[in-house]
Amino acid sequence: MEGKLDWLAAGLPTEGTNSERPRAGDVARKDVPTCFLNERLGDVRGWVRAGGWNACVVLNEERVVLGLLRAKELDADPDLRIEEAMRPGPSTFRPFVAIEEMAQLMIDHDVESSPITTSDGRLVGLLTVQDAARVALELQKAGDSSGQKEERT
Amino acid sequence: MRRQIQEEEEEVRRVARPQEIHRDQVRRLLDEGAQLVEVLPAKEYEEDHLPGAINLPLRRLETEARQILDPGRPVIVYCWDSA
Repeated sequence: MEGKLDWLAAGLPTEGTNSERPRAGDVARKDVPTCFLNERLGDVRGWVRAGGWNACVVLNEERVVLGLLRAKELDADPDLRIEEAMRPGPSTFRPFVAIEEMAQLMIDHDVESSPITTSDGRLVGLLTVQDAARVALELQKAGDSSGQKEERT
Repeated sequence: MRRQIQEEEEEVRRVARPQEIHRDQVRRLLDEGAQLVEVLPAKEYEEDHLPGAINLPLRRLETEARQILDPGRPVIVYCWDSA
């Protein structure tokens, strides 16, 4: 077999202490809007924003990530094809990265959102910095409070 | 007769020879009862391992495999990556 790294990168389940903590693939939003290269930006913008989103991931027929539309790209000329408007080849991360690490990375590099993909580039979901930071903070608070309980006992 | 014995020996060697497989084949073989072994150190195994895998670090593999593994079932062995 190709190895544990390949299994993790495919977003497949594991057992062990790391699997009990949230990772990028667990927190990423699976319901992120997606579109294709040849669609019209104005059409895509319409239903993306009607769904309450401000981002859309551009895929091919095999769900491989080709690009990303964030707020700035969505606001461009509505007659552009997605291929012309999108941010091509966005930075992606694997599903097994710890959420605390993702939150820190996204804050440090001012990354609003990032596609989470398998090792062959297929979309798992979109991770926003808000979601990553919220879960990381919850983990930190949970860790702090369990530490305080141990001190009392 | 001699040729038949040689062919049978070659078949046994072929079946016993390790083969590299894809993760989809891993899942299928596990459904069919294969044994799954991680050869990384115990600490790495405890952090993350494939569901149902047992830990037999590489240094212990030769000495303990015969006692722990069932010779009648396929064995899938994995490390961190294929390198």
